[in-house]
Amino acid sequence: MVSIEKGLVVVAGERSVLIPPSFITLLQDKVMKEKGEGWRKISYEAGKKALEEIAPTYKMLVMIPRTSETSKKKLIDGVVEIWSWMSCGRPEVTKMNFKKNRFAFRLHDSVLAKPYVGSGKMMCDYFSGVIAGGFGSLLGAELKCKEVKCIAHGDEFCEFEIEGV
Amino acid sequence: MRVFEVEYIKKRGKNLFIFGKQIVVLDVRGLYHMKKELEKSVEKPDEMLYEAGRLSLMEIHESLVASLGAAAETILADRESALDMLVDALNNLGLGEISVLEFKPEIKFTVKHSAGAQDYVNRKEISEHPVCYALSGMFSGVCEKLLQTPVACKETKCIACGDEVCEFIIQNNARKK
Repeated sequence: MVSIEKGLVVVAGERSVLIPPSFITLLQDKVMKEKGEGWRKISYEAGKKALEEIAPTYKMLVMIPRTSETSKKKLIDGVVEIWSWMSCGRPEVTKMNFKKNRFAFRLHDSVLAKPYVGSGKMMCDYFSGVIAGGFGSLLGAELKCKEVKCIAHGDEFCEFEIEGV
Repeated sequence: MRVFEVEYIKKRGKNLFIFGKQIVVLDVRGLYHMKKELEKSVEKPDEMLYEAGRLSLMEIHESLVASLGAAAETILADRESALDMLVDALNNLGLGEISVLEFKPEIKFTVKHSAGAQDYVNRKEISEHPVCYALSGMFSGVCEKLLQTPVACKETKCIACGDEVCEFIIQNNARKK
């Protein structure tokens, strides 16, 4: 799943970098200082746009045609398995309703939320965008994602609700 | 010359670590879109990316020192060899193929297919100025720790501008891009 050669890292067929999560959280902190709560939209949009472009590669890797509900479920499971190799927390889909395009997604030990534990805030907006863009691209639908639980907020895990726009 | 041989990236379960510090996988398109969203929204996106890169690589350097323990002082005393080792480690992070072009009088790095700029090339987007702000910051963070003096890193060539490789120069005692 992860291939490292001199200067190049490829994960699930996509060129990637391996960076400390603090790169993202330090960046968020700086944006927060200038834009206040506006940092959330910036992080969300960056994650969403990136995954809208990457998800088709993942879909090819999983190689399941998106026809029946069972196929869609396998597709989502396959891509979540890919995500589990991203070293950013343990992902888990807890609810899938394809008719209503409603899903629930959990991330255990989110690396983006860990530095903010005790802040009482939801901090995984980049991942919210990633989930919205990823699920949306996989299912061919415009979706939005909201974080409803976060370890930074004092919850046991981070949880995201996804639904159609 | 390598100071010591080590497998830099370690895996525990499905998590990845370098010098005992967890690292995450970020697709290069994530980097590209983060930069683009910042450019739309904040006054100085270049400085933000530079600082985030600088501070995050300083953390990795601190983890390296901690992992070397008592031997750190001796191993890092030969700065040129230590820089070679650090570049060897950085070449495992997917930032591009990094080489030290010169050590004296100034440290110069070249990077082939820089992760910060490759997406510009892929999209046939030409930039009027170098775009590897985060990588510049990372080099400044590594060199600042290594040389134990404030430095700045300036990118002088960039594949996003049409150059063949990206090139970076470390300058002493200044904090500018």
